[in-house]
Amino acid sequence: MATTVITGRDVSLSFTGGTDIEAQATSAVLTKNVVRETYQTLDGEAYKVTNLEGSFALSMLADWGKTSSVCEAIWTALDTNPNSEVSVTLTAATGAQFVFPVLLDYPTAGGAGTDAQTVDFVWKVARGEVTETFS
Amino acid sequence: MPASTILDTVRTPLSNALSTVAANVYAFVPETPSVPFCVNVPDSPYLELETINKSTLHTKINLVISCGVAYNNNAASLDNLEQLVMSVLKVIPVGYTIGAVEKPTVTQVGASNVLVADIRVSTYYTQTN
Repeated sequence: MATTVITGRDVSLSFTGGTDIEAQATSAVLTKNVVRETYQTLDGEAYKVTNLEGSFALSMLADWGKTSSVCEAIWTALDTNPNSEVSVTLTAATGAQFVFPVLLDYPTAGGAGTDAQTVDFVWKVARGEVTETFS
Repeated sequence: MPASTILDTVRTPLSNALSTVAANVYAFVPETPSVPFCVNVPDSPYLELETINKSTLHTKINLVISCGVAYNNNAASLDNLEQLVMSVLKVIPVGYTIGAVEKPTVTQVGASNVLVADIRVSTYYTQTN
């Protein structure tokens, strides 16, 4: 079979709220992992997965002041309810879609004089719940 | 809605922003620029695709603003070039990152020597339609 290559340009991303995140995002990476305990028994090692966790790392160009600003939407959402979960839909490539709720953090503001202002997030995926659709 | 172009969306507005400086401003490389001048020239790499997704084309554009003055007298030419560069730096619009100003070099344009310094700038462009 032919080798498949997918890049970040194949990724599509949307937030609840309809901000144009794709115009700003330079990197979007979903990570889901298992918390696996190891037990030393008389028979040797035994394993038990005790939890599923996830995180979503997003790097973006800051868009303060823009109409439908992502940074401002996140800031306002946290001011309104810091415990609120925001649904994110990430399509890694056609046929592989992930929908998950994230717990937001405030964006940073400001930056170096020589470069575009950027914002980097690592958001916790609530309860590690990732709903995937593979076709 | 007609398709956007880099000329209309980026290079011409940048040239318009520079129109207040005491120089001839060009949005593209003219055949024979008249000194003093500021010319928007593509830098290398010219276009960089930094954002995710490709349904809408967003690209970083790297440009050089080449500032040139007549090279008749070494001391006066450098002073003129420095003043021109400073006046350009003051009016570069928001939304542009400004990189280094490169070392002035003597360049022959037609029969004349011109002292030129390059200002590296970058901005972002979204292709519509």
